[in-house]
Amino acid sequence: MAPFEIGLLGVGTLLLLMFLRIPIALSLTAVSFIGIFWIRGEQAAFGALASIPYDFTAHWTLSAIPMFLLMGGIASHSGLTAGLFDAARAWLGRLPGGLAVATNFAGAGFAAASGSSLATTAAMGRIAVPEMLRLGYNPSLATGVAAAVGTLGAIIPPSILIVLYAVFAQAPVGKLLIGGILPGFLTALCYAVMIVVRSSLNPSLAPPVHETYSLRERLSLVVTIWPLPILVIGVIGSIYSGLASATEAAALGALIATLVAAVQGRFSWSVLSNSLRDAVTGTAMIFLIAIGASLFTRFLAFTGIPFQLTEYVVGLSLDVSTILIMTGLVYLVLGMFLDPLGVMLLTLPILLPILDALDVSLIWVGILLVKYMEIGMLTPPVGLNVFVLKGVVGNSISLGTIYKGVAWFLLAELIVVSLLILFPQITLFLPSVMSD
Amino acid sequence: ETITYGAYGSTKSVLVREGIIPFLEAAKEKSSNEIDYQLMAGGAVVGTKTTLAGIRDGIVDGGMVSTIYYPTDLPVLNTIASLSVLGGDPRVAAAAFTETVLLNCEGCLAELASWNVQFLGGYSTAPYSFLCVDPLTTLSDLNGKRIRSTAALSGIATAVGGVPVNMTISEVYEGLQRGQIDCTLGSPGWLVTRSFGDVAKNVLLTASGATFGGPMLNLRKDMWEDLTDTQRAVLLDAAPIGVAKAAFAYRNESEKVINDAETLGFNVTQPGQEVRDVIDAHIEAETQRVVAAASEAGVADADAIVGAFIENLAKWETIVDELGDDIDAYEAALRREIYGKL
Amino acid sequence: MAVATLATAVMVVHVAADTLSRQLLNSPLPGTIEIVSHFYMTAIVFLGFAEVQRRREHATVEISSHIFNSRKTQAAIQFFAGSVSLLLVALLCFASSEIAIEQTQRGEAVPVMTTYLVVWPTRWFVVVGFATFAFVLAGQLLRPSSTPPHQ
Ligand code: NA
Ligand code: NA
Repeated sequence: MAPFEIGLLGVGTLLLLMFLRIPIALSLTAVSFIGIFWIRGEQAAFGALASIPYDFTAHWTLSAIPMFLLMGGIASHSGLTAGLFDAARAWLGRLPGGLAVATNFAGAGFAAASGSSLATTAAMGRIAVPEMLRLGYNPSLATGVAAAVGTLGAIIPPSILIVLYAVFAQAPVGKLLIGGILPGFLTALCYAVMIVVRSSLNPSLAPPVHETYSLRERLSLVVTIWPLPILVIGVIGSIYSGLASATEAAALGALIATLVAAVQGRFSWSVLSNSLRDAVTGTAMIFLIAIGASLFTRFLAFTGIPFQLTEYVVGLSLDVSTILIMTGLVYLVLGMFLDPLGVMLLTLPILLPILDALDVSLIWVGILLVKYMEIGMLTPPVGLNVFVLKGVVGNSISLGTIYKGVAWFLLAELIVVSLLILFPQITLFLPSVMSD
Repeated sequence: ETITYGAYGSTKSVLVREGIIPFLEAAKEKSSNEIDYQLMAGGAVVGTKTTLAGIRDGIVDGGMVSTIYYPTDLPVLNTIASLSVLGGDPRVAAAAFTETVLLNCEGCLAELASWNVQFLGGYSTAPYSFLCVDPLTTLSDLNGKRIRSTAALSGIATAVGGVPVNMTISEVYEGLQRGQIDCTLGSPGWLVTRSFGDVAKNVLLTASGATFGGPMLNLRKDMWEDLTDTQRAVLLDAAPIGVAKAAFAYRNESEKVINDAETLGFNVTQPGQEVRDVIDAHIEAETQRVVAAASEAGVADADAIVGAFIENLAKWETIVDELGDDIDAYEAALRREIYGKL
Repeated sequence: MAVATLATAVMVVHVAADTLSRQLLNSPLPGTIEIVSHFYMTAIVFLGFAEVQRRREHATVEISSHIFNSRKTQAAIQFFAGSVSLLLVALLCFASSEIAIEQTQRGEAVPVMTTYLVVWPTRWFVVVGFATFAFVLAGQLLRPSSTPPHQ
């Protein structure tokens, strides 16, 4: 059998193994091992298993992942981010759909402290959803906004996905992280407009809340969230100003979160030990998949599939936007079923050579890919953000209800993605200011 | 016969573009397509630290093995490679390294054979100078400045009174731009090829030290032994083409920046005697240190190996001086002095 | 797991100290990149696998559990997946132990300035990591949980 056919068989087998509930990482490992065995022989297959896990892991830039996870863990375990929703509510509560808008912006704020989309979703689900339900908000809207705003966790820096993308694509990680800022806020803005418009047209979605806050109260609520700007300035500021590389900024961020928690008297050994444990298990889980994907990348290279596909696509001489839209559709389909990290790591070996041949900005594309992946976190049947939210709200609300609420946010995403493709400057402006 | 060749560098990097591809293409042409190749560049299947075991295990049939990444796997070869302070003209160092390994160092060949590697040719980067954000030319300018340098070359940074800083090459651009470092040691060519010239326009042309010794052209030894005599002859005939092109490419890339500095907006300064002196003293001491360290690490004949290498450096310096810019003559010299004697 | 959490904490302090020492005292800590890559990262990642498996948190595609409703089919799939996983992790453990033995005998080290950092002990994090991972998988195979794995 020709390597190309072995490759196709390998992809089919991979899908079957994943369907049979073998962890994604191990499915990737199994197919790669057998495929490399077949094409290059026994010793090569064992050699790859022996060397790649260590070689992939012993990596300086990737150390940002456990450190960003730790920073987010400390911020939420110690309650640094707990006041976000209350503050947003005091300022935005009187808008149509005000609490949903408040959830939306509180989520964006939380995203600036957390590197992961799941963590952001879980936090908003715990803090904001019960409040909205209590005040008579439509369950679809209440859960939809929390699931959707979770995606900002991976776009607004810090972001685990962006660090991984940067390493695989050999693109500058600092600029990529900074590049996520404006697209993240653009998303939050589009979400907010959509919520306000919908709630104005159909007030039963979000009954007006008659809470009045004096200016004094509003300001004092803002003061309670002072640690957050410190954390954001600590991380983004140290990258931007050049005090630290992106990797070093992750360490400073974790340290600042700890210090701020200590100053506020919210620090305890259990906060630290829970945050450390979450950082370790989160890292181990992510790396096992990445190691599997790294093996799979090698297997695919031997089959020649990425090269042939690159030749084919480049031969079509499509323009860049068309390729990006096609990629978006592929991600939409894969993202329905697969873990987003898996989607990215599976497609990068094929996509990167194509983009390289077209000389496209890897920063612009990277942010767009993260956006695509995060959309996959929201689409049925496997929408991880939706699952996390379902875990938080329990049996009172069905998955179908959450997906229905999320659908409106997917509509808003369509607009955001179109803007990002049409106007690369949205992504590239801040990174370009960095280099002046 | 199809050679699956692994390279950690991308197809755009000098070693792949000018060294590996010309070698493989020449072999293909000279064998009338009997020896074909599949190039896996950009670390697609083997990377900087996995190529050596990758060749042994047959993940690839050949690959570029940068010696410095394998200090404990290839201790004998590293005795030569850690003399990076002696690096100068890449054409001299590449030829001297290739000759030393192929003709004067049984231990090198035995070590490579134990990894199932048949060595066919080496490389050297252009000599490293100080690439700085600000114009720093004297010892007092350099004093206390943060200078990115790797491994053995960190000694040069220390010798001029700087503070050696290690960062990965992908962090250097931002490091220079944002002031984490003041200078990096590197080839002036990097100002263009790695765009460092956007943020660091000043070169203090010390031209001392380089990264070399990475055998660029290597085949799996068991594959090599299975080839016919004719096929082996073809590969040996193709190897000097790759070695010559890569050495000239490195040299030209660096020379171009130095010669066109004014139009490119760069400021190239020759070091004064005072800087020269401390660097020369360091090179002297470093050579002693490497021999001592290698002997201590149990490398037999470290003295003899280093001696042969230094002799070969001198020999190729003379040859290259005579040849000037004639790449064909250089290639012919490689055949005459090295490949013809195998 | 304790070693992995400790490595995380020490890594944060070490990297921050290196950064601040470089920027403020003009004196970076030599070998930070190498120590982080080879020691902390390998400890965190490999020694974390078993705990992730204990919590059944290794990412899995959940479609089949929505398609097959019968408990028997589900249990069969779970047994199959567990067995294949165990086999693979054992294979990874075996492969990594070969390279660990080899690098231990060589005394694997990486260059740090003009000296070397010994890194062969970190090869054993891989072996121990996959071994404990396999151990947890075997335990879960023998005593399948009655509750569905949590996602
Ligand atoms: Na974030
Ligand atoms: Na999905």
